[in-house]
Amino acid sequence: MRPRHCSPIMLTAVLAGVMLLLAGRPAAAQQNAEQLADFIERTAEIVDWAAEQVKETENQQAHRVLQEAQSLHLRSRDQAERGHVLAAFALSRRARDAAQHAVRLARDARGAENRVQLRLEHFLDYRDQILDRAREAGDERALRFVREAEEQALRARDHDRQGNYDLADHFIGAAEDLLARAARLLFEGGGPERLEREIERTRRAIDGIADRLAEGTPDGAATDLLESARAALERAEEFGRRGQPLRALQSVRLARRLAGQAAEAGDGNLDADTVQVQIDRWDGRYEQISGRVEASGAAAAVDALARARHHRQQAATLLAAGNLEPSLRQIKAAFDLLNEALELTR
Amino acid sequence: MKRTRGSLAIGVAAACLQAAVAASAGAAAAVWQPKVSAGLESYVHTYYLATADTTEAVSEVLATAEIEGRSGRRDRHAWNLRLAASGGSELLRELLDGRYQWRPSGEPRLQLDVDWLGRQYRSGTEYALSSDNHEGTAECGPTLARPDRPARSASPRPLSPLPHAVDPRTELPRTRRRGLPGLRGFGDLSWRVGARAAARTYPDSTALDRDLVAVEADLDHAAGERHIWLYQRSERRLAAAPEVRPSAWSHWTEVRATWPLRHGEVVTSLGSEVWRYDRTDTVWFDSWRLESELGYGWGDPLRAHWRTLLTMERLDADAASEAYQQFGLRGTVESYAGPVSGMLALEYGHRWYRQTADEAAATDPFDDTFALAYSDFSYVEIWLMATWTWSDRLSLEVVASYQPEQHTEQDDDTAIGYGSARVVWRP
Repeated sequence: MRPRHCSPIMLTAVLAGVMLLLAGRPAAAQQNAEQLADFIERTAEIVDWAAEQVKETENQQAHRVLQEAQSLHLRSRDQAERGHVLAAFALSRRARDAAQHAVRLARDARGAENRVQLRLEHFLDYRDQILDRAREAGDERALRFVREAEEQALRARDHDRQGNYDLADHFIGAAEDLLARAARLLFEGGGPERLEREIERTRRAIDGIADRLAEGTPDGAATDLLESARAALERAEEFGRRGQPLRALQSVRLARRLAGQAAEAGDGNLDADTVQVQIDRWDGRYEQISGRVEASGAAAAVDALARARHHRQQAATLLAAGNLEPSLRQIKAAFDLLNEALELTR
Repeated sequence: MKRTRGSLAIGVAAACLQAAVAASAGAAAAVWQPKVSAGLESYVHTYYLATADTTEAVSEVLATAEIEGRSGRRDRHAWNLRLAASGGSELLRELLDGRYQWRPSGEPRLQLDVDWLGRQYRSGTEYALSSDNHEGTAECGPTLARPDRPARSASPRPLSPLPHAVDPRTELPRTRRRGLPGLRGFGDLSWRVGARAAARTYPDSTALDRDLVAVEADLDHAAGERHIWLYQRSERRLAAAPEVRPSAWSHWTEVRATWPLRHGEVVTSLGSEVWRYDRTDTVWFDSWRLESELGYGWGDPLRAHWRTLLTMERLDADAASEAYQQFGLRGTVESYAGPVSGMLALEYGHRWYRQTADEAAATDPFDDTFALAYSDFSYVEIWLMATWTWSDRLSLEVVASYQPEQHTEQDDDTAIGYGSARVVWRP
């Protein structure tokens, strides 16, 4: 380690001073030898001080650098005993620098060691919680994340064992990230209870809208949208049963959007061109992705695509009849279903 | 001797695997999932050692066999068991991780957890610490039901009292015992509160012995797409020889939160670590470390989820040379849908030490003044974790990391690299 608290210029000046003293009178040389002895003695104290800190950690890098410091110190004493003042001074100087380096490494490691211990302990507790939830939910994807997190934690334990705390800290960080992803899947899916609640809430909302529609003038387009909402909800239940809570939740959200569109009332300032532009956009998008969806062979995706086509046709029919608002709602639903169809192929 | 013990351990693990597979035939509701993998792991650390750059490298070819089983979800006697054994060019490992729950009415009333990990190093291993070792915990405790809550949404239970850990290392033998009485709850609001008592003893160096007493609590709450996690732990460390090392208080706090904003989510976290010693000196000094992240994430993890974060870390310490502040910018992308799934993270940042080398300098090398000084540095962190799925049963898993630090003092430059690639087969 380069001496940071003693610049090259300063070191040169000190060495030059020592050389000048050596070239001086014998009395001065004697005084200098005593100063060197004091310097080496002080180095011994510094190396001991460093050793005291290094033994607090199992960081092997710190231990190695400390050993180097101790070796340099012993060599400087040896050189001093032989009367090689300059060599003794230089070696002692380097011993101090190495001791400094060892202390810095040990202090860094001490902090990291405490953090790794704490994070490992916490990881195990948190893992248990997530594992319980994932097993309860039967969520295979979340379980896979937990297992990957355990792999990283195992690596962290191995490197903690070796005193490589920096790397161990990073591995435990990676393990925590993976657990957080598992937790996110479970929280977003919400576990079986929460997903069930969301599905139930959406079902009640759809039923409520259906009741309201039944009380008023029959609106074929709105009823059609509700049917699509119900189909999306059924897909959500199916995904839930298959242990895919995130996809289930996406389908629940789509069901809500479709139900919301069905319930939407009011007449905005629409013109036929605006709606036609949306239909044309849908046609362009359909051209791009319909082939991929059909080739995927995913039944749910093909079903969503079919419903999207159905709503697109409804939109065109309603537009031709001058029913702009219902037509726009239909084409919005067609877009949502088209997007879902693409999503289901992934 | 090492090899004999290692072979014995592998043999025991293999026997356990066979027994587990055989047992699965008789347990209709149980699910068993075996896994076999083989690959290469490599670790490289470059740093300056007194007079020259030094590179340490450990590379290992290893194969792992693993089986995990679990009972039916609603079984009265619920259990899960994971057994793994790996053999590599550097060391052998065995892992056992199991849990048993007695659930007479669907809710757990008694729980037993066992975790054990053994390592046997091969002769001539490149690992610096190569004494065979094993560590483990066994935890057992009753669980309590709360009559006012639905059975599946909340079940506070004492956290397994009196676990026990053994760690007979020749490098630094130590034994650790701990207990965690406490309560835990589940549901949308998951929480935990408990106390922890531990004793560390080092037979060869009794001055290092210490007792630990801690209280801790955490809370995990999700409401829609909002999520918050809080964690607090306060610990009293009682040194066996306070004249050698002082006793201390430490406080750890972490807060993480996400909430939706437009088409994405705001992500933030704050961590605090405080150390207060009964007596401070040049070795043991008070400190406060603070780290935080603030960023925005968007996208769908099933397709591609992006996240960009500003990171900050700051250390205040009684020892002026230790104090620093650090800023960084991190970007991550993750995807878990296609045949290639995983995460890639890249962070770049810089650390400034508050005291410069000149300020810390001892002006006269013969003077008793001796000051530590650190050098500022820029850092890069690259993390890759990816799985390439070739089929339902076969995949390639890659983990790679590279963390170089470029210091204003060139001799302080350091770099850590890690790479792992393995083929995984799930028969």
